Amino acid sequence: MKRALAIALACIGIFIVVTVVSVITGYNSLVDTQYDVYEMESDIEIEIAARHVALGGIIDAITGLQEHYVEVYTRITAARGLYDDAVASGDPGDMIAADAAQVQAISDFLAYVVIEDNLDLTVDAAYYDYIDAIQLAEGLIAVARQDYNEAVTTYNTSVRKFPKILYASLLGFPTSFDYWRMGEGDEDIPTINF
Amino acid sequence: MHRLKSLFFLALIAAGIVWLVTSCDKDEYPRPTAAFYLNDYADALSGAAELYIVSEGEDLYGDTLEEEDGGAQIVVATFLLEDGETAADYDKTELFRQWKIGANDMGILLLFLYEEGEFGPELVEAQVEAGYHVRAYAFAYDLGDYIDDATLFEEGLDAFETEKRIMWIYFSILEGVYRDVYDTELIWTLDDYDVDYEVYYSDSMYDTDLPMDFISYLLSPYLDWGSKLGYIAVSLLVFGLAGGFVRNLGGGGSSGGFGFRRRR
Repeated sequence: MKRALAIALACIGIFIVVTVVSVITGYNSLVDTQYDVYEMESDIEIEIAARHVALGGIIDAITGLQEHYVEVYTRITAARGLYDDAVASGDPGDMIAADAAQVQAISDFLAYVVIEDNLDLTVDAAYYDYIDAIQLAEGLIAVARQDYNEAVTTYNTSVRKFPKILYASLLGFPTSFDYWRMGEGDEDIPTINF
Repeated sequence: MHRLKSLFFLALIAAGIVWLVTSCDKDEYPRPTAAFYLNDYADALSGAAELYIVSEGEDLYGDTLEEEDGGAQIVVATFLLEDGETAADYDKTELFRQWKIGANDMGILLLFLYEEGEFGPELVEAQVEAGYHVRAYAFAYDLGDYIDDATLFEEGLDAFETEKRIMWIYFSILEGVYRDVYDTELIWTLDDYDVDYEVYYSDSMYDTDLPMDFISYLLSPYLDWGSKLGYIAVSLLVFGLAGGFVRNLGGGGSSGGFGFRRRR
């Protein structure tokens, strides 16, 4: 009888140890993947901020843009306004919208505004530095978005699997993160053709 | 006994094939060449470029490995755009990460894309990507300027002049790395590059073609198939190991899209 009790207690003890170890490692793993997502999101936002500054610089570096390319100018200022709103709200959805607006504004700018062929526009020396800054930021944002989406996939997949699905709900982790996508249902993210 | 030997060789061949297949299907781009620092897949550069780039690359990596932010690697790659490919099909960040350039994230990738022209490959795009840690140094922000200053896409440049300008970009970056990262002055010149270009034009220390010995061995009428299969098995394993070794030449670095591109 005593032997049977000892075996039962040993089994319970092993079960408790295994469960505790599993919860601890599961919790740590969820924290790691969750913070990967936050870190990648932060990387994107840093570069969007750099692009926001460069866009402002471009407007200042060109004389005549507002008069001769009203639509392009308006789109740039609207994109900059959206960014300011997104920073104020702190909502990732707003930041994605601001990112999309910046991409559209820059694409339009590059497609329609040809500085070299337009006598009505004059640029100061800093203009080309801002274009380089935008190109640089764009490369970094593109990779950061991709890394973010991969981190989101890792997290979302992780919290749907047993036993982490239990830990996530018990320990108050988010059930999923949204992907960084532009436009409804779009898998692809538009790229700027420099 | 003979049967066991054949089974052993067959198992070795199977292992070799599995090794090759599993090591190939993961990567989007070809593995770096044995030269590592120069991967001239477009066959656009001369033996002189290989000589300069590989020797300078080995020196930079070896001499700085023990220093703070040491183990910088500058890798040059060329690809030929064919069958409707465009420059957009080449992701410099992906290539950088696959080749793991630079220890301590101190890698720089120079990527040159070519199209087939009337007189050989014609350069259509130049890209540069810097590792995560390189952006902490001032010269990283001049990488685009180096390409601009070299005026790579000037009309009428022949293969030699294009290559010389690529080498100018390479040395300008190398000088920046030594100056900003390792506080060392690099003295360089391309004054004699035309001579080296002529002398080393078709030389390569890293010929990756299959040796004739290998083919003649397989076709030899004097050897039985057991021996030939054994030779293939061992060769497959050696190539696999060599592939692993070549991959390890990268310092383990990664990048996050910090770079510039210039088109013709």
